[in-house]
Amino acid sequence: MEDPRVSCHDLWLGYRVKSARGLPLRGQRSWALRELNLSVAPGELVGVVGGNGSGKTTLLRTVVGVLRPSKGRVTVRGKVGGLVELRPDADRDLSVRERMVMSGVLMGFRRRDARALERLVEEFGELDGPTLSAPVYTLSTGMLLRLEMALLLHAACDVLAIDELLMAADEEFRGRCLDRIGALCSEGSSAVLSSHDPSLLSGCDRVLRLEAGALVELEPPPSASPGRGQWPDDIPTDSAVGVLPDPKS
Amino acid sequence: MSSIETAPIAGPGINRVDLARVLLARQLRLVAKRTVFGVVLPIVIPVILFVLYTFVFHTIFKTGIPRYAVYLFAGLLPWTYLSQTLGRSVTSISNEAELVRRARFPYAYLTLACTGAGLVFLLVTLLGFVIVLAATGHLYASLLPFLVLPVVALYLFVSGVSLALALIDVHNRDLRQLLSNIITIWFFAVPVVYTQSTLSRHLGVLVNDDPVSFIVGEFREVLYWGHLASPGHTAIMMTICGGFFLVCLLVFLRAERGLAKDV
Repeated sequence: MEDPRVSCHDLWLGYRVKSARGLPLRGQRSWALRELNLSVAPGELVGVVGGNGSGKTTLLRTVVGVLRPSKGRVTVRGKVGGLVELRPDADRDLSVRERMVMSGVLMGFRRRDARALERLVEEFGELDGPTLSAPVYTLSTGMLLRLEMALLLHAACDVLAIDELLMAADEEFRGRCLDRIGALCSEGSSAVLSSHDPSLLSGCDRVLRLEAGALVELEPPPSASPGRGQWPDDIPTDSAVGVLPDPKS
Repeated sequence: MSSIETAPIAGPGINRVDLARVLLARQLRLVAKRTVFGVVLPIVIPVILFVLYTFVFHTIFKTGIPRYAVYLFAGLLPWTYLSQTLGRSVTSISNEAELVRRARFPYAYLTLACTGAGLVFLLVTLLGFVIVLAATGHLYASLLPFLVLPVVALYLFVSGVSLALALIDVHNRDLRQLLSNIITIWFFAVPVVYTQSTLSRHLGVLVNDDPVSFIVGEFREVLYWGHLASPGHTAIMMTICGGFFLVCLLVFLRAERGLAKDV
């Protein structure tokens, strides 16, 4: 049996509790992850579901290496790439092209490949030249997601960690991303996707539920799975979630 | 899909040279965004201060220092670099929360890019000063290569202070509020507008052991006095600044793994 790509052993991660003024309260800690054990095999596509604040993002940030466990061990074999933070207000004054180079370098691309990255973003992310020249703050979250996903899904990562940000994508682009993730896993990469919507994860090999930072494994995936790497056609888009009733009706 | 075939090859990790260059270019671009004067302003600021201080200290208070304009500007150059850069780099981590939480990379690069961008402005202003000195016949051209050491010492010292400030600012924002006042007090404790001997009479050790006084002194040796500082003076300056930078960098590296939780 091959060594797992991701291995979390007795993982605990705590944040210092802060006062209303943002100063840490001495000796107080809130646990975002508790005694978590997880193993992701090469080629495996794992989904993580859970409500808001259940620890999904913290888990993915720990896998990516941004957060250091308070206790326990995380081992990642190979190159890890993630999309766990996406805020249009960051780098807001830079052009999208400038941000593209920045993100590309963080994902292991070379600065000299900027032109090729641009073609990649135009083809996979469908962002055109004028969009790439515009300031970042003029982009919606969905457009920014297209930029980052186009880079991430071609960055030759052995492990992908993608937070529920895919909800910001339209149906067509999300389908393209999920297809690409499935193809990468077929080639031996591993992926951990998180969502608070189980239907988004129905194409995963395994879906795990996080509750208050503790992991509960679910087998099989929560909705009738159309098959490994096959995604349902009726995943709700961001705009369709929580639609308000028409005030006229 | 065609994009897969045309995609560039990503390396197994972040290329640190590329990262440093991209962050530096990003800092320089951010200074110019949404401004009319762009990168000109940070270069011109020392000149504005120069005019102001020359008027106040030379015209009104009659300092009596010969060739006061050259004396003042040779001291203002390193000082302005320090004050402008510290003002920006104190928030170099706090203001980059998204980048810090997006990927694991050496976060010290964010602060060093900030101090590096300031260094670019310093070098451009220094070049302009050298041209003016040459045009007015006050340039000691053969000594110019010896400016490299005080410039390196200045970069190391300011980078060290910046790393410390950026780290503190992640956890506590009091310093951010106080910094401009601290810099103003520090300014009057460094012999920028008056002589070292004048200051030493009043502040003694506080001035004589301040690394910035060492650096300002070395700038003046080359640009104003036209002779080299003693090797002992230069060695002490480099040791203090290099050692301080290393200590601050080590402290930063120890703390940086926890930054994403608090930033």
